Amino acid sequence: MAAPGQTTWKVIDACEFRWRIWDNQFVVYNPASGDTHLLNQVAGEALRCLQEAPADAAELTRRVAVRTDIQVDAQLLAKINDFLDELAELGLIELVPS
Amino acid sequence: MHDRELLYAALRDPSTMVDLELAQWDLLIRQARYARLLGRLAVLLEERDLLECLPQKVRDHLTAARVVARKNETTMRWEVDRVGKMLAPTGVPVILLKGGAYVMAELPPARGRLYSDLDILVPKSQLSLVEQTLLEQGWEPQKLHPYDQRYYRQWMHELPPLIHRQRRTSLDVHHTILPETGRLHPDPEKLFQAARPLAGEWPKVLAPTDMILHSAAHLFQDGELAGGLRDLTDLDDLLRHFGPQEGFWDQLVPRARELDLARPLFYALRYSQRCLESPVPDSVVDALRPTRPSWPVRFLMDALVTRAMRPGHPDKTCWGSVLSTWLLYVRSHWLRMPPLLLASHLFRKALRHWYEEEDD
Amino acid sequence: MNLGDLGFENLRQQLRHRGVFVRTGPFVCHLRSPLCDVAEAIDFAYADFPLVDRGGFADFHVRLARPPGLRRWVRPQVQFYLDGRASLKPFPVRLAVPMLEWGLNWCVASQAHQYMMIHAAALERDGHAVLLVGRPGAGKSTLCAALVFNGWRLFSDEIALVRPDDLRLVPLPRPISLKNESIEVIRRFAPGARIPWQWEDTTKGTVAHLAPPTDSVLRADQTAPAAWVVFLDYQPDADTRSRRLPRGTALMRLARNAFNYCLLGSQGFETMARLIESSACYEFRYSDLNKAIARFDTLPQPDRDHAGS
Repeated sequence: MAAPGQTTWKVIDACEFRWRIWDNQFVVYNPASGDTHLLNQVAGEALRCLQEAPADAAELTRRVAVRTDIQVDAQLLAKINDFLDELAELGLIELVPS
Repeated sequence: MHDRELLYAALRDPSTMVDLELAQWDLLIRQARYARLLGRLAVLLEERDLLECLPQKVRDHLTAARVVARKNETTMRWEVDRVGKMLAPTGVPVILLKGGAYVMAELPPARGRLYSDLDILVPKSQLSLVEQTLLEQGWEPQKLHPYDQRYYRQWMHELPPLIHRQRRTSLDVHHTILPETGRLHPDPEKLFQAARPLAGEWPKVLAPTDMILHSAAHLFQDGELAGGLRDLTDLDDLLRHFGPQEGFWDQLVPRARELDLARPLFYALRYSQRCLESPVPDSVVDALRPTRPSWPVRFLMDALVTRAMRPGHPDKTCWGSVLSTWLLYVRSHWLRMPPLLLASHLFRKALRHWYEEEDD
Repeated sequence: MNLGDLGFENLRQQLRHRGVFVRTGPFVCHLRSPLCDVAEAIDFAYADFPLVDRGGFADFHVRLARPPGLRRWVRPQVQFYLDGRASLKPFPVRLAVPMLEWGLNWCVASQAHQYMMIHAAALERDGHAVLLVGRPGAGKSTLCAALVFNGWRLFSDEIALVRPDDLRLVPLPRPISLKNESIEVIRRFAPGARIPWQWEDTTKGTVAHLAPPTDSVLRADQTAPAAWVVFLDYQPDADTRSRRLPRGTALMRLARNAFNYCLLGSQGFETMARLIESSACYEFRYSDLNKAIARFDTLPQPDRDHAGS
């Protein structure tokens, strides 16, 4: 979980993800860990956004909503927050040192 | 060229491999694979742009070995990354040992290497904290027979190996580089003082002299010589890599004495020179003369080591090599443990082999 | 010269001593065994396979023999040696022939990383190959055997070899392993099928071997691109039904069924992704073998770009 005051996320250094986007399925391969992940549209767009530029949860939610044509609401923000924790656990993203 | 010479010749001068007949390749590939050096051969040929000259069948085997070595490297780098994320916040100084150090410091022994475990050295006073941190974050002790658990903790120099719950990778946490019950006692504090950081403060690796001494100690005092030729090639690589560095040779023998590792260094340099023609200055050999064992021991060791290192023919059991390897196994355990302890350890291990199913 | 040209006695002698060098797909296997039933099985199942010059290069040096020591006589065992080393647990000696097949599969799957290897049956017709993927019990081998009797060329019943450079499948035709009920099913389905022996009480139940068709063996050097990937689901009394799988789902499932997807790293991902992109992926439920084969006759021809097909 993000500590207070430390909320901006980024993909880990030297992360050269390989992507396949087929319909609304995002398959991403992380060469650093050797893991392959199948993500739905929201999750996939969220990771792609972070790969483009670091963001905190609120900013990320806004960007994802734009790309996926979904409304920004508390539910989406909660999903994004959970997802960020999972991605961190998997070693795909980390908090930017404050 | 005699069968036995194939692998040595390939290691000493990789360009000679392009002249090999298919039947010789057949043998070399099997010997190298068993010695865990096939990936190394593949890299040596790749570095010299010689792969295209080789027959397709041979290239296939080298390609396969490269695949495995590359994956090993990725896995090791990721493990170091993950373990670092867990341990760096604790502030405990950590030194990467052996393969982990070679790959992260991009040293020659990393080329085409197969890794088994990640080995780290931590101060004994911090061992509990490290163990606790790791256990809380996805590592668990390998399931060991209670006797082996005791063996590791009480008598050896490491925690029982830890396995990561999801990744199933293996981590060995050491607090010295040789067992406390052994005869030689290199002071880990000195190793920490001389250790060099890589990028940032985490992790550290041993100073060049210490890395070589650790490799020598591992090969000639610690391990069962199962690593054999592969570990000797590591040593040879390190000697060639660090040799040209300013002051290296001058520091090596004094440091060996300081760490109580002069005898292993003697053996290491002797056999590295004999088997792999490592360039060692005469002055260094002379400086080690006072530490060398009596001639009967030297004579026996020469016979044992060169035979055990010799890559055998896969189809013919060379009883000399088998016996040599067994004798060296006993020797290395003798050096680790006082004789009474040794007898009971071997006896119990033998009993378990007969009466219990071993896990895969 | 083929192995069958040796004659049984000659073969037996060679197996006992210097061994035979036989080509199986892209691999040369050096086989040795003093056991009579192993010689008989090799004589039966590998008669069409080409012999290779002795003293050249073999990819696998294999020996099946009783291990030395007590287990030679008490509950006798057989051991599979690769390069003189026994890496597999020994079997009861009566199961030497199944052990040979499993052992040869193990050799390939544990070493041939110049390919991406998928745990699947592979067959070819009209220049295109299909992969059959399924859990044990999904009927992969049964369907594979039945398709072989229905005009499909056998590439493999267990290990599909994919060449990363051009994604072509490489044949590895060897005896097809049938288990339990499928042995009777195939005997009924193809009365001409030669299945001379079966072995009971293996870890997978009863096992029998079907010799690969001569044509498949003779054309083992002819590769083909994969056009279809079919995930099998055998359900008793189910209708025959297939549905297209989304590509992401198909990739993950196929990767889980590959022997060395993870080992191949980035190249593995790229190879798998391109394979999925260039083939049509289906989930296929069935219970009736004849209906299944009929459905396979109607697999859509691959088109150049698979957008929306």
